[in-house]
Amino acid sequence: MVVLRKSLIRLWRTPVKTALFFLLAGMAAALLSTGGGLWKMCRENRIHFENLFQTIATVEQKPARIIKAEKWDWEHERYTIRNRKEYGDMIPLAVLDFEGADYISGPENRAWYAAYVPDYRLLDDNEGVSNPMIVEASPVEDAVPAGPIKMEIKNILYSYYRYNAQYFNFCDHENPAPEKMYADKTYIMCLIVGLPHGRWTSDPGLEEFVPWSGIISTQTRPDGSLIPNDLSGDYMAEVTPGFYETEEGKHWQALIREFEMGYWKSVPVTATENTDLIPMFYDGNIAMEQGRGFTQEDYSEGRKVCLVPRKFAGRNDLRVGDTLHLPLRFANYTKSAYISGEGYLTAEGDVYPVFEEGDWEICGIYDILPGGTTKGYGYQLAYNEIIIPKASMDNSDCQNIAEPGYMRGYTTSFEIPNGTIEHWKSLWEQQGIDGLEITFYDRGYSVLEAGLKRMNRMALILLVAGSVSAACVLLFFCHMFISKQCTRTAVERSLGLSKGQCALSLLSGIVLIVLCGSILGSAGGYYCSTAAAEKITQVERFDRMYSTGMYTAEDDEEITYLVAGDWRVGAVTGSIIVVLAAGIALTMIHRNLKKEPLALLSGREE
Amino acid sequence: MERVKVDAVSYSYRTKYQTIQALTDVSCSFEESKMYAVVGESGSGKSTLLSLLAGLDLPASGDILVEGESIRGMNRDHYRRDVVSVVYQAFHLFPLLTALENVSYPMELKGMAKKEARVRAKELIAQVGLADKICKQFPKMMSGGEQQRVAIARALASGGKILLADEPTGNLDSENERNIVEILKSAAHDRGYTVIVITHNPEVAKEADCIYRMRDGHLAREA
Repeated sequence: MVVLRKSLIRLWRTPVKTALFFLLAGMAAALLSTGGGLWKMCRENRIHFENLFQTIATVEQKPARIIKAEKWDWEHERYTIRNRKEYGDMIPLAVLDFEGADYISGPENRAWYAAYVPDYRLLDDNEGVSNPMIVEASPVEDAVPAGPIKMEIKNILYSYYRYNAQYFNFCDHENPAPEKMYADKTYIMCLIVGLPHGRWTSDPGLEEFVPWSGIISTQTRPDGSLIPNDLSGDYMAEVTPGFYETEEGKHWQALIREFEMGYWKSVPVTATENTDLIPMFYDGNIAMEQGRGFTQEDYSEGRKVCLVPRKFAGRNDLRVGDTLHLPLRFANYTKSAYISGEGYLTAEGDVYPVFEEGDWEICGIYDILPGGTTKGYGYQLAYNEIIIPKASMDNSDCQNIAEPGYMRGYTTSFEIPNGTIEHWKSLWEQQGIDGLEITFYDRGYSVLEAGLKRMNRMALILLVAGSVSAACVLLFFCHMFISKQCTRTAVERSLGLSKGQCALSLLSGIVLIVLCGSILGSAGGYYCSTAAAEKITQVERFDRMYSTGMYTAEDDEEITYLVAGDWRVGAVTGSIIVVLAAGIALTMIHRNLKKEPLALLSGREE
Repeated sequence: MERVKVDAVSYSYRTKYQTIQALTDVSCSFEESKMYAVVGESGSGKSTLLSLLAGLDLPASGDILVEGESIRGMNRDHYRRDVVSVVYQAFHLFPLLTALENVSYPMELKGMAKKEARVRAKELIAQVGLADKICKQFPKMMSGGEQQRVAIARALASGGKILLADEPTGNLDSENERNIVEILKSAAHDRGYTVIVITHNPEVAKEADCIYRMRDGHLAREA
């Protein structure tokens, strides 16, 4: 205690030096504490924002060229010209898998699969869109269908709605050279209601029908190339005796079966590795009404779970925990997931067989929030669209691709870590691949990140300045209070103080000053870091609606930076300075004590 | 009565360029109540002898016995605090402590209460011939003579009966020199101290009861 008291008395008697040391140590502590506080806030904000924000990109193969396509119009008796995109060779998804690309999810090219579910109710009575039908019909009189001709229905082979009339009007609307049709012949035709010449009518018998589908196949290989086939390509055929025993007749029967299976009796099933890659989910337009979304385990373990839309669940009295039996028949990589009765046939002219079948447990029932997406065609979820984890499928769809897999914005996407868009872009440019249009969505993270970068930069500057100033201040004043006090140490040694007591005598004062300075500086730094963070980050505020993939009750809350200081940072930085001071002081004291006292006090004569 | 016996002590140390044989087979003894002077040229080994007597170092060979006990077996911190005290040419008072605090410090280190130590320090300051007002003064406010007296008072305060003085008058004028020598003589003759003065000054040396002369590390007693 005597040694300590004398040491403090000495400090008290050098007030300017002591005060300066105290102030400078405090300032260094304040700088470190402020920098540390900002750095921690920055880190917390990054974690905070990481949980709220996601960065995804959609990928679209650019058309190789635009061609002018002529289409005959019998109403106006002229060709109309339309632009049509031609895509050329399909760019494989693998081009996105390059060295250095750091993906959180994907890239994935999603297909939807037609699942034949005849036992489920898919639409309400008043729902539905235009309806194709397949009929056997004859013209009332010989005529060329270059304009509406009256046809008499002999037999309705397929129609979802009951067609009550005996007659209808038919126009081979887009065929500039239709063949003459004869009243004594019967024709099988796949038709859909078209706009009649002149005006719209819903009067039975006066509706005008146009060709809709025929004996064609769009079945493709995984590389996007069409599988060659010998199908006729006709959308109308004469029904002769034994017609249905012929190859052509069998193809027509397959087309009828396809319509019966596909239209209103199939649901689209989308398989994904991450629902956030689906634009509607990413945009926050999907709310989980019951149950949960997919977990990482669902994806990684390929659990047979599914998300179903609210209306579908309601119509079929399905609840979370129920299972759905889903036989998947064909994949479509091109079109939106609306099943609208395309009449897909295989290259052999048959219906697609089931390639994947199983029971999926409903883990969540979702609803589409009002407003939906504004992104346009293809980005919406379709009626009755069911979502499953990609890995829950056991079989490949490569033999059952009805439409090829050109990458589309609504089918192809990937997720990268927030704040890495530019990095990814620079790596992508190095690949030298043209033909893909990549659009990034980060919900404004880039703007927030700018604030974080400013905060981080300031934190680093303050940390460096604080560290350098702390080191300089401590070295200078330890030199003043210790190295230049070696005579005092020698006298104290000659008075009988042990080395430990001498060290305590020198160390105690320094540690006390630094401790007081650090406490004050760290407290100041605590307030400074909060104030600085508020200044730096006050410009950006975000609505959470754009920032979460799932609807929550807190959607109306604004997203702001976390700017609360943490006293523990000050405690840590203050402690670091005290420990550093003690370390420097002990090193210098050790050097002092190594000097021979008498040599210092009298100067060795020898 | 013999208080300190130096028995065949040798000591060498290394400098940057060479090893110096500072003391060679030095033997002598110092009795209580006597003042001794150790004289010699610069580099003869005087200060090395003082260093060994002060317990700041140990002989390479031989031994130093204090009241029959070898210095080697003693705790040297305790030895310096309780047995021996040193007065330096440059005084070496603590500049940020007052005269009173400088003198009371060794006593407080030995566990004496602060108040008691201060009373005793005042007595010692008076004994070395300083006025009471000096007690509150800092060293830089005192003359050289006053500082050396305070230094002697601090040495006496330690309570040890061996007082070593390294050129105690080296920085003083002749009047202060005489006063300091008188104080040292008084300490030896009146209070039973063994006072060993290292000096170049023959005027100081001749006041001693006994003179040892150091030459090239060898010690010889002068008649």
